[in-house]
Amino acid sequence: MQKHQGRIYAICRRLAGNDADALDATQEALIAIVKGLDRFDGRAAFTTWSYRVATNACLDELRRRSRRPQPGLPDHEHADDEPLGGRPLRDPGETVAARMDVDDALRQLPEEFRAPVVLRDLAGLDYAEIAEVLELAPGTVRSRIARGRGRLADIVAGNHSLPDERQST
Amino acid sequence: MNDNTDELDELVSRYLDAEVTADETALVESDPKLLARADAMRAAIEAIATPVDIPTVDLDRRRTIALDAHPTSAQITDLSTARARTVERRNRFVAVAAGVVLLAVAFTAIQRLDLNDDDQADFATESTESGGQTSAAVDDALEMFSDDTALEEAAADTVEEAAEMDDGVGAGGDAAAIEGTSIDMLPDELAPVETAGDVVAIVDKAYADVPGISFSGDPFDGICPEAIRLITDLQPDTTVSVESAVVRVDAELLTVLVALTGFTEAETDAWIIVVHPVDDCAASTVISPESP
Repeated sequence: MQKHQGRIYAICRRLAGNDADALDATQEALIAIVKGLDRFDGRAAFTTWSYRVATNACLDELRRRSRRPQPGLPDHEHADDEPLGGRPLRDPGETVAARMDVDDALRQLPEEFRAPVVLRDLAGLDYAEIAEVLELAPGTVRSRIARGRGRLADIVAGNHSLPDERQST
Repeated sequence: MNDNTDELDELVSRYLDAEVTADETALVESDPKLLARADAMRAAIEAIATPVDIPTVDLDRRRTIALDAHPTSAQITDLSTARARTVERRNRFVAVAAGVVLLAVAFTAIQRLDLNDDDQADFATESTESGGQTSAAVDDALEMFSDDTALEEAAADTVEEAAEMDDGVGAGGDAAAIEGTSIDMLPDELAPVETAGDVVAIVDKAYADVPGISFSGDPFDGICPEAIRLITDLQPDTTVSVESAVVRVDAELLTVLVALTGFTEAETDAWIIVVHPVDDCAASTVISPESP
């Protein structure tokens, strides 16, 4: 569990967009893994299995939270406090990508795009593994990753209307 | 976003994952617009891949809480044994589920027959017996899979259906069946239909006589985000329950969500229906914008 908790937190962190929710979601994910451990039968890699349990637990926790009234300021008002998933920027020479507020950008993605993109680009799972984790068809995973990346690219470029305006080639 | 843009984004995305053919690679690399799109997507990917600071102390504390809440067994289980157990569970569940389905189908077929009075008396006896068998089969299923939450829930759903059969009352006819924390006016899977209008008609009929109920719990538990958004846009703060079912329209399997609102102690006064392909929540659509 100790070995895997960092990976699981990282996924929850990107899905949640802030530290506090990510920690709570990670705790729920760890509980779900502990509860489900006796059902792990080794047919999938433990990593894949644990990602599946953890991702679902994180998403469930975040859905529950999204439906509850949250006291205080909404998350986006804290966006400037916490760039890059909590990592303070120290080097002004960091890349454009690093300066982008990834949390804010991911928050603008619908959940069905966010989870596959995070599992692909943060966790490094391949399409088949993501399909297994999210219980989707591989074609759906490929499509959602592409659309999610496309939207993020537009957000990075600061042009949300770009997709409709781009011409076919 | 138009389809062509989605297709090009998918091509570029696969290019970045090295999941393209040589021809597709050449296509991307010969087109400045596609290369620019690849650069933009790559920047997004790099941002997401930026390492997350891990709060080790906090995580250790959360792990301890998790382990304390659900202590793990000290017994080490061989994976091949666990695998065999999984297969056995599945086979037994399939056998029991098949039995339950057969009984339900047989019961429905018998119920639809135009019976004379004598036959109806016989039918009542058969109904009681088959309902009892169904309940017994489901009890077996529950016992066998008591450590598997998903199967337990599936079996529990079947128990409710069996209870309805025991009463000799179908969906939509018994107020007692909807008291508590869930509503079950629709079967989990509807018969195939041809149009969205057919779905609306089925739902309207099923809920036509639903009386007021006391409901507690989270109405959106397990409902996907886009559907929640649509429902809450139309029924802000008033949705008390969302029931789901699956229906086949032409070749497509759709999830049907019925969001009920306006429950009073006397009656149910409104519901809306949202559908989406079973694997595509983003395509959620309201097919009953006007509540009945």
